[in-house]
Amino acid sequence: MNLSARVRRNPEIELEPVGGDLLLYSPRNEIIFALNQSSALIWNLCDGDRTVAEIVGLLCEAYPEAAMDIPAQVEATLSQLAGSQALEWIEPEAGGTG
Amino acid sequence: MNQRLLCFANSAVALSYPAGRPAEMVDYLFRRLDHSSGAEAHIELSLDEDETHQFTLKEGGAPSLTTVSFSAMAEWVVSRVGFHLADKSRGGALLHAAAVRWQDRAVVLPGKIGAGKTTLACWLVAHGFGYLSDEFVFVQSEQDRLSAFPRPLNVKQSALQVVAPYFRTSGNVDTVLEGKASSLVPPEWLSPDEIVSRACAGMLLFPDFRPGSKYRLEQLAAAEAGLALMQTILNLRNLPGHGLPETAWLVNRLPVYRLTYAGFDQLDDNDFLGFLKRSLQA
Repeated sequence: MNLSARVRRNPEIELEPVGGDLLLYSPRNEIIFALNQSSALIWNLCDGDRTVAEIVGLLCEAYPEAAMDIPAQVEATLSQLAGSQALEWIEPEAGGTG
Repeated sequence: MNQRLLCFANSAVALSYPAGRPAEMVDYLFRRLDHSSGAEAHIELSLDEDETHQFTLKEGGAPSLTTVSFSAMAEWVVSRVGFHLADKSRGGALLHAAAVRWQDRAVVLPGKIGAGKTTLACWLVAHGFGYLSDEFVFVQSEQDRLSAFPRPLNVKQSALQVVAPYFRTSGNVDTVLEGKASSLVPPEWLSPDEIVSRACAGMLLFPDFRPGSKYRLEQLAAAEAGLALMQTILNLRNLPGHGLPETAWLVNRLPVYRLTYAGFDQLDDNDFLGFLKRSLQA
């Protein structure tokens, strides 16, 4: 995974909190996602400005005891959600730092 | 010609039929249904029998099935009525679920076809729970009370031999209608208790019958529960926010469990009835 890539939430996705988790629904694909608290946190950090590395860094700083597992969990969550078009990878601008 | 307005889940279907065997069929299928509702029918179905004893069901004027088999037509009629009621249902979540009640609190058993909803519902009714439905449960938006569709239980042939030992074989007015793939079993064959169609929602329990499996009863996390529940809501597209708020309201309010089991003996061995009764009384 490209750690310098940015990713943002698909604005078409509808979401609803349940307990401390999140339910997501894609009207276009009619797919439902269930995010536990960890995945919901990752989802909320995907604002289009942060890189993957920055998301990993933030989480490792907040949860140092889980730092060994966070990179893999971030990669898995982003891959799953991007694969289902709930997240969108942002192409770096030409000539930009990406 | 008779006409009955079949109302459920803020939806209504008009069913017209002549006297004789069509009237017997309609009574067999729908007499337990509470007919009170302000809904107007959005489609008319008509059931008829010709001089060759051939039944025909028309939906909006177009024939959908013609058969000489009473049981086959009965199963088709109740299925199509359910489809049309679900199609326009709104104002709450219409669940593909069986349901039973302990006193006034309902155990809702959502699940896809083949999950074991009806079989488990049969067993629970035979063990003192009140029958609500084997197919549809409607929870009005942000309300605790639910209404159920109290039709005869549609028991698959593979499950019939499993639940048949629990049948009450005397004093029954209606018969079991045996079909090729399934049979319609009047709920009175499982319990003499009065059939009611409303109760207070007490619990969501997803049955997962798996031959050879170990007994497992687990409480689901919120998101997992919501995901599983949304897959059983039949009128999602008719609800605001694609049903997400309804789902969240139910999951946030009710305990949600999944039951994995391979036979009724496991339910006895693990005091499953005791667990349900204690949970519903809490």
